[in-house]
Amino acid sequence: MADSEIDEVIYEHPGLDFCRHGIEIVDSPGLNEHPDRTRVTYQLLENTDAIVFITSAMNHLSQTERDLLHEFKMKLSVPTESTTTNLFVVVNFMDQIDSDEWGDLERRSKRILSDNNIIPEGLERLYFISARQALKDKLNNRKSEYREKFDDFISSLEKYLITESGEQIIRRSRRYLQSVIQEVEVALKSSQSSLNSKKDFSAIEKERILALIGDVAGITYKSREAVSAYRSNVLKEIKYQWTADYSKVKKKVAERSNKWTTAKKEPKAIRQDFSSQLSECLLEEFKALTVLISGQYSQPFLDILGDNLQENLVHIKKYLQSIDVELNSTLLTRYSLSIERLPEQLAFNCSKGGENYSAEISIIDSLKTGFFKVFKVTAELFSDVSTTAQAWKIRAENRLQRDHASRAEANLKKELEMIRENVLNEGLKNFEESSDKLLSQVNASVSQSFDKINYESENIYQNAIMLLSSLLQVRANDMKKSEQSRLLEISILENKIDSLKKIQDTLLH
Amino acid sequence: MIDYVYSPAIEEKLRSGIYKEVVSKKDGTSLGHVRDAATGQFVANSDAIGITNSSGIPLQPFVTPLSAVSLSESNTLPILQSLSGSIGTLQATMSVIGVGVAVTGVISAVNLWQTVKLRREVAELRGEMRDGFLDLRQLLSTQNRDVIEHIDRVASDVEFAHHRTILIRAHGQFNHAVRRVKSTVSMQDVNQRNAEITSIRNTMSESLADYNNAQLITQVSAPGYLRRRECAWAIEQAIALTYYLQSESQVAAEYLTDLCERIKKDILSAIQLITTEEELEFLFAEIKRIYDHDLPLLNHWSSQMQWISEQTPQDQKMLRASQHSLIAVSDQDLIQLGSDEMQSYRLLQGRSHFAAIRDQLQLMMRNDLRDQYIRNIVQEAKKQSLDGINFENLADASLETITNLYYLFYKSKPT
Repeated sequence: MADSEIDEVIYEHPGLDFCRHGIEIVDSPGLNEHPDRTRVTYQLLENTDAIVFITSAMNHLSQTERDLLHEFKMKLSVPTESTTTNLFVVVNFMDQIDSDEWGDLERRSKRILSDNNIIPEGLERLYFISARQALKDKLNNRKSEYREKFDDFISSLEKYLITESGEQIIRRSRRYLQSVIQEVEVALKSSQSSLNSKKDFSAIEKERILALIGDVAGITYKSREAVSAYRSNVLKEIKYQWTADYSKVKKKVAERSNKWTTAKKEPKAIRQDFSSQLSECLLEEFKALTVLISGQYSQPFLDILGDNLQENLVHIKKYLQSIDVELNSTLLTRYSLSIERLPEQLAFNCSKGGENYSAEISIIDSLKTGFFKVFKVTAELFSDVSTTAQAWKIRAENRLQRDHASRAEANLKKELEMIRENVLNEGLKNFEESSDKLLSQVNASVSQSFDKINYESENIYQNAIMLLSSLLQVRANDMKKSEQSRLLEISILENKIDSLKKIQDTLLH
Repeated sequence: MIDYVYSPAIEEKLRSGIYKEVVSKKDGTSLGHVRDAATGQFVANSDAIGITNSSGIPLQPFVTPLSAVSLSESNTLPILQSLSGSIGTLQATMSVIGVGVAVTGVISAVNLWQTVKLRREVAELRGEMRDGFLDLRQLLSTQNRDVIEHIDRVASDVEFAHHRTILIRAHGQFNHAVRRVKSTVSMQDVNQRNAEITSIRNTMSESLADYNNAQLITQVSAPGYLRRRECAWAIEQAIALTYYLQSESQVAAEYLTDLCERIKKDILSAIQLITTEEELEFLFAEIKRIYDHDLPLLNHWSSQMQWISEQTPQDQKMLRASQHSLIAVSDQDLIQLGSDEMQSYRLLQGRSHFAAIRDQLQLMMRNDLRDQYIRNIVQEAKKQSLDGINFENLADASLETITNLYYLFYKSKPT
């Protein structure tokens, strides 16, 4: 058969009494002869109601046969049953051994089969026959022990196939169903517990992300509070010190005015020259004042805010990283990208005495326009007094005309001094009048530094909140989906259990 | 919600179903009584050995005596005496807090932690009365000199002297009422006994009227206000007990339920008075303790009273006469707990801020306010496309998260 294309040969025998109830006898190939034939036998086993295992009395139940029987038993058994009832073992060729040995052979066979749990004790599944002798006696219509034993076997097999095997099949099916139901129930329980644990995990995870969002929200507000408090402290301090600081500028400019020189001869030109020297002095001294103001008053607070921001940034990143590790996400990278521009600024903004940034320069830059505007006003005022200067010139000329030439040089020196004083006093007077404007310029500039750090903090915190909020939503949606699919799974399993139980009940009745 | 812890033997029988715990119809919580599942009889010697709040933390209330859970007639007097002792210490701390705005650097000397310590010392009879008021100077003598000097300053304050007079009278009256209870409980004539208890209750009510005196609670700081109200709550608990003594458990139950609402209102009023970080710290620890320990216990007490009123007269009689061992808690444990609350305030300070922490306390007392905050947050989050900050997710959020988010969205400029 192994090399043949024929799968099976059906031989019908209408006169065979044994087959009258639709029983089919299949003579399967022996086992361990050829792999293909063994496969055919195993296939047959799957749809067989009863197996008749024929062995020889001369060499009966060898280890190989015992192994085979054990294998059959495993194939035929349902998981919940320890024994099979549809395995019949027939020991043939009994006529070939001495009748004195029969008893011994039977006892040994029974023991082997029951010890190996192949045929349980008390179950009539082991027969000792001589097919040849039985046939002979049947043909001769002769009663004999061989014939009797053979008939016993046949009637027992017939009884099993016609009545017991049906019950057996139902019983087996029910037991099998029971085991399937148990398996499904285990799967159901595991699905349910997995759903619950996922719920727990999801709740813990949600709680953690929410708590972090809350923390960042709190930090953001605290940062706003700190910026606002520091700014108002700094502005108060600047205002408090302003008059004194401002006077220092004036004093220094006055001192430096003594060193003003000019090569001009004409009073108008001299005045213009002194005016521009005054402008230079004022600008320089004012620059020095703003450096002092920002360095002394603002920078320490900006440094604290910068340090806090840096510290909180580290804290946020650490948290995101821990979430990444747990969820295998890329929050940290996304966060770092979202604030990519900021950390650098943060570095120089917060570094003490950083070379790229200083609050002083920021103030001076913004002041320049304002200062020149103010100074322009001063210059305009100077030009307003030009009528007076013109009158002074006429007076001087008149005097020059009246006086002698020898006195002219001494007078000019004196007049030079007068011009210097005039320019200085007028300039400082205007500078004094511009005090409020300059103070508000300084304030605006200081405020700007605080606004800037506030803006950066908001960006850093806001980005974290956005990222966490979207993570929360994504996770919540994922959890919902997974919960839904698991619930579906559970309901399918529950339905299956119901259907199986119904089948089981039908079988029972 | 609170849970009882029984001896291992009882716990085992409860687990195996031989015994059953009696639970409240209202909320299903255990009422601290054990019945035999088969006979329905109460089990003798089944007193709980511990009691925890819903977070599993051993219950350690600040104003309400823990022994209130093991109520029986014989335990009533010790409970009343404990309430009286508490009032004495609580009002003595007012001599540090004073009238008007609380002085910086002083009120921490009588915060939750310190007050529990003081109460222990008073219980050990280490305190001395001075003009009807417990003299704290002696007990605080090892402390900061500034505090002692401050007590002297408060003592010379005319306004406080006026308060002090009212407080001494009120406490005196209450003590007198408690002393009368001692002789009353043994009275055999029920009518006479009930009449006497009504009279005692009237005296307690007069004392309560003093504590409720508007003069006493105007112009006081948040800590001062809270301490005055705590004294009033203690007296109200005593009044509830008088109803129990008259077998009016149903009335006692209703009285206690109402008291819980009054406590919440009082706390909200106290929160409104907070003006400084120091006051916030003081109130945070105390309100958290009251919220986590006193209020659950009072609610539970009310459920117990309600349940007693539903029992057969025979069972009621048996329950009233039972010899419960009082569940005691040492002030040492309370001190530990107090420091835990301070610790949690410190942690909160790092992540939150004055306004948000103050609002958290309000939200503890008002669930509707929590919902309102969430509505506002979600509205703003929607505008900013912060999809994760939605109703579903915020349902599980802590009060800290809610108030922090609220301030982030709604208060762009710090107050």
